[in-house]
Amino acid sequence: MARIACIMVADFSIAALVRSNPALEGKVLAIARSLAPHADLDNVSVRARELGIRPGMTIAQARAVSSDLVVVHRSNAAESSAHSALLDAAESVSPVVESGASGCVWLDLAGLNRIYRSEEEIAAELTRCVRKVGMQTAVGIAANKELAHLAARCGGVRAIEAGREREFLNWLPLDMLDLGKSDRGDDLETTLARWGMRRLGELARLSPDAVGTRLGRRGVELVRLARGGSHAPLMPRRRAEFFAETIELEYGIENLEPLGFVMRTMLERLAERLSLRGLVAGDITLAFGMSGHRSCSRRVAIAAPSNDVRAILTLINLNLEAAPPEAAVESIRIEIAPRVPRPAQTDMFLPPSPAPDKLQTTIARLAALCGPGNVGAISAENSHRPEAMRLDPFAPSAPPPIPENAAAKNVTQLVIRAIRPAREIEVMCSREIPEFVRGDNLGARVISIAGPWRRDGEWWLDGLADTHADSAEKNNLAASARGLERHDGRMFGAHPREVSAQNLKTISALTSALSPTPHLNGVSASDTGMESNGARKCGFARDYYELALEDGGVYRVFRDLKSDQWFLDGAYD
Amino acid sequence: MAALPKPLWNAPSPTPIPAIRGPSNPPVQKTQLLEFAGVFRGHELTRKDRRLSSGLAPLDDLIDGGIPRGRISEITGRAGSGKTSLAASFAKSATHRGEVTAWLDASGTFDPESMAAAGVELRRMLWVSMTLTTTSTRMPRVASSPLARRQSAIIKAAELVLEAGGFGLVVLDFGDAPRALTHASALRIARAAERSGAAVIALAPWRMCGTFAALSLAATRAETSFSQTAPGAPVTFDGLTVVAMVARNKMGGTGRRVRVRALIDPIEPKELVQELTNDSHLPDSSTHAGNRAWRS
Repeated sequence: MARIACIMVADFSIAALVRSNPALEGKVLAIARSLAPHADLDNVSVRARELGIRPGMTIAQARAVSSDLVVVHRSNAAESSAHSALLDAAESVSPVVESGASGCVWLDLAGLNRIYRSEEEIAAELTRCVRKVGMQTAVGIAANKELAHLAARCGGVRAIEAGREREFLNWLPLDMLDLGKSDRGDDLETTLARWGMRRLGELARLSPDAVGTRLGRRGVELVRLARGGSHAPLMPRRRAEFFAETIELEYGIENLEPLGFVMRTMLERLAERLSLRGLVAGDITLAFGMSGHRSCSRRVAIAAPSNDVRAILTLINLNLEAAPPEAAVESIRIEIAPRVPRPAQTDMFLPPSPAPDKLQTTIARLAALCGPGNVGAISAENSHRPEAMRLDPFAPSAPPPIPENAAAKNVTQLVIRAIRPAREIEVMCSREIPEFVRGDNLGARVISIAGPWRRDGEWWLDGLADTHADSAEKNNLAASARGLERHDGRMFGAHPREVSAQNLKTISALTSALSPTPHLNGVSASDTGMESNGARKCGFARDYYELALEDGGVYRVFRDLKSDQWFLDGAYD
Repeated sequence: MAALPKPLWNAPSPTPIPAIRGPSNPPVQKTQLLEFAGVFRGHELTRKDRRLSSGLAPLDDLIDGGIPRGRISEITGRAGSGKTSLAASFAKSATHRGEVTAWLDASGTFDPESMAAAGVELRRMLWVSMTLTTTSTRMPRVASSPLARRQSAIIKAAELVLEAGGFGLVVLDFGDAPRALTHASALRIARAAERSGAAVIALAPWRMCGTFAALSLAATRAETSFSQTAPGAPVTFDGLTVVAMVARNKMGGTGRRVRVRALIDPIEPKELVQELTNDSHLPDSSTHAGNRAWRS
């Protein structure tokens, strides 16, 4: 026999408001369509009800009862977010969930007895999950949706055992139900009380036709409900493809700091929802409603999917600082694309590696600390340009089998500390041979020289506007002038004695002719020295030298043949 | 009736074994394979036994097999001393064994091309650069200059990486560090390293972590070698000879030093001989290795 649970949040519009603005919790709160004194109250909080404030009273009447009354507008955005959160809480327990009216969700409990020992345990889990998303709920469990809904309306946790439905219906007082009005506009509760009906089960003895004649369609529904309801199956909803929270502010926010406070609360709620579903936050879309009916949206890339609110908020703040909203923000919508955490199987006989979830959180925090473009797996790009690098997301592959202990060596590779972007220096030469180097924090006589090693490439990107015939002619001319075979992008030796000064001048002039676009030393303008994919490249031609200076260092410098300037490329260390 | 044979355990020993203390057991060579399990032949390996070797025989001999895991080791030296090459050798060793490493680059001077040439498997290395560190309001006021801000950021980043756990080696490249770390900062990193069990290398011109470093290697450049294969041929830069001296070692051995060669094209003589025997023709004199072979 099917078992259906219903979770229902009492005074849902109030609960949704309190969830979006926790400062309202415990206040004497009421919702009205207008803030004028004569406007009627639509809903009131428990605290207001305790003081005697009822829906239908005017605001002026309610203020006469309690001067602490806080009257707010109904927020559809808050209710929508709260209902989505309720669905997420339900889906964290059961995969089959049907969305009901606002604040009401049904879920199928089939198969859950293998996970939970009893229905009480399921109800307790549901209560806990809903509390995590910021609301209090009542849980009803019964054989069908309608009975479960009735059980949830009674408040608390109520499980109607199979076969005892009649007993429950015979007990259920009619005043606990929102009976509404008959087709003729009479108050159903008053009419039934006049008939002597106090419990729902008593309606079961009446003929549906007779009740329908007197009370209309609503009366027939009540009789059907009193006889045990229908056994219609649940209509499961599709899984959410994104998680969103929306908040409408009472006044516009102009500064980023208070905006961060508001978004932190929203992100915390989203993180709770994601963690309930076993997901982590991927890329984020922010949509701001601004004053003057303007709006803007932006996408914040998350370096590594994570539920770490602090790291995500820092990334959002970085994005907002780079391009702040144009006007005061009046509504915020945060939409998160969920990601499934990467599972990993560790091996006893392999070296330990960071747990995927911890690694992603760490990368997200590092990206928040150092900037998203400064964290990852760096490698030399397959390019002719020597400083070209690429940064990929860090995802260490499965380690290779551990090799046997390799024989220890006596020599190691010399590593260079690259200077990106290359720093311009002044080099004094004598007969084209560097003799003294001067620059920022650098000034020494040259002791030993190796080079020059000419390196040029990407010359084919220059002069794209020229005709192919002209380009080919110039290339041929350049090649013949060099008297050297062209090795595109590769190093090849060109000792000064081998290439005469006249040839060098010819080469420089030709290379300049090949690249009309001015180009600064071939280094990307970005601070990291990375080249963005969309950046326009143009050719480069450089003479590299390795200079041992009197200060004890060995440096790699190059002379840009186009600008005839010298640059410090790195220091061997 | 034949007498039953006496039980063996009652039989007197025909030749009593002289109670001579035999030679002590030769030191067992601890293979790196068993290190991950933390147990070697029934004995739990203590912290001091867990080391990360560099793959350089003279250096490993100098520091008892490698730098200790779960501790901070410093490699100091001025620019051009060869300290980065020594750190790269440890990174190579770690990544080749399948460990995940991190290189926290305060100065933005990490060169992936030369690191890859040094054998570092860059896919297993998390690179973090501090060159664009965010100006967070949580940064202490003292960290006002860019260098100081990067230094504060690298400490924070080191803590984050070490807290994540699972990293075999974390290199803190301080670059031109303006000053040594405060005791509190060094202590935080030392504690985090101990908890995670990762080997931490601090690269800086001078000692950064004070007494919190278990090992401190001072690298100095002994000689720079340029060569010319033939008269009139291009001069090539071969590399450096680095002297690594133990400036501090909690396990002893302070003051010992060793010479290590860091070359642009590191080919050992043994490999070279093999290469020559495999190739029937003469080496191409235009290549760098060919030059070296021709010269030798």
